[in-house]
Amino acid sequence: MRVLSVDAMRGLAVCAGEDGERVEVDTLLVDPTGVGERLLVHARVAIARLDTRVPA
Amino acid sequence: MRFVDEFRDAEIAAALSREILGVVEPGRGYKVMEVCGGHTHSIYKYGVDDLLPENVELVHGPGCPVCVIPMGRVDDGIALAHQEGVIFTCFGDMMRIPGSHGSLLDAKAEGADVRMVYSPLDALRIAERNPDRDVIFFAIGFETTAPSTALTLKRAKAERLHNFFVMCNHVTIVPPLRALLDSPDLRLDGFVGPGHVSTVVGARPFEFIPRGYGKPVVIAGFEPLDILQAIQMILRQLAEGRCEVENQYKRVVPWEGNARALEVMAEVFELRPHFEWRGLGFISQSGLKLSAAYADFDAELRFSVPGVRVADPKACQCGEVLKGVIKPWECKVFGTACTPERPIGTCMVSSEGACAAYYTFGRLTRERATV
Repeated sequence: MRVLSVDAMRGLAVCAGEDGERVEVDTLLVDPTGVGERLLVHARVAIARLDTRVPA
Repeated sequence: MRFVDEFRDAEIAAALSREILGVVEPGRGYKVMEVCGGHTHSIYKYGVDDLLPENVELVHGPGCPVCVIPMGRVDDGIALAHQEGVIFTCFGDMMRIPGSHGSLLDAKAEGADVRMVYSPLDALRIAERNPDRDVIFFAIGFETTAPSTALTLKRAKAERLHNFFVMCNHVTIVPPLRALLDSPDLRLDGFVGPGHVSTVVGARPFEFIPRGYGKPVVIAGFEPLDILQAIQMILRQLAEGRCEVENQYKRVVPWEGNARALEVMAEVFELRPHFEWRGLGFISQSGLKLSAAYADFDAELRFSVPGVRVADPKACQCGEVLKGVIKPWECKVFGTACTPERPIGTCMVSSEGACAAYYTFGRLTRERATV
């Protein structure tokens, strides 16, 4: 999911999925995220960040 | 969309398919197990198996969390849902899993307050809004979902919530793989490793497979080219006489996993001595329960649950499907008495279940497209 906004104090972010649906995601388990980053989200918890440096 | 479209490219798929053809030994049969139900779903959604030679067979593993829940645990959940004052919450596909006398959906129809949630955090929010009710979350899933439950319990503890409880059915992936490898029923040549579980646990826990059993493992993503490439990497290892854990899903899976998630899980959970799996029986140290520090949130300690072991329906062969011993269409009730609309077995309920994947994408026999 793509990060749209970040609430660093609460460890939350609003993210958009492939279909554009927006959901609140817990980001406490990944390093600080920024707008535009991509997260792997499971049950509304980010469990990994997509490493965009790895060639597709 | 970036990181999606490039993994669905038909030309690259055809090239990978030709590479696979080049590394397989004619006359030799290969059995590769995809551990994760998400892989099974993608394989049939995108027709990945159509791009494999006849002598490469995909065997579907036990990595669908809903599918491996034994009937007794479903009955326990339903018993909790019927208790006075309880709001019982669970993921959507769990609501349709048949227990001995109906499903959670049936319990809801009978008057129990059963609510579908997308996450444990949703259940916590329900508890916050209903301080005079006891809210129970039916937690299922492998190490992918367990961190979400763990984080929610940490929030519940920090908020000093006294009306939020978890019935913990979380399981771990390594013990059932070991059980399968020790099973005389099945001969496998390699494993497509579970991509999302590996984001949490990393690649290291799978090293026992090449080391102890001499089978390659390639951790893979969930797009069709991810899976096809992982199969190519497994077959290449076999052709070159290598046997190791490789990571095809490097864009998401770090070799060491997610240390923070593992730390949270270690705080909130502890291993049960044994846990029952549908079709696989009791497996030592394969299930999680809440640790002593979180015992106040443990629904099984707070409420009375029957805890009775219930045998699977005789007609249902989910156990054999989960062990990869038979294909879904070989089950006696597949597509007739058992359909996604009226499932008898768990594998027909979840979209990650092998039976549901076969049924949904019309795989009623083994067919091959010409590459």
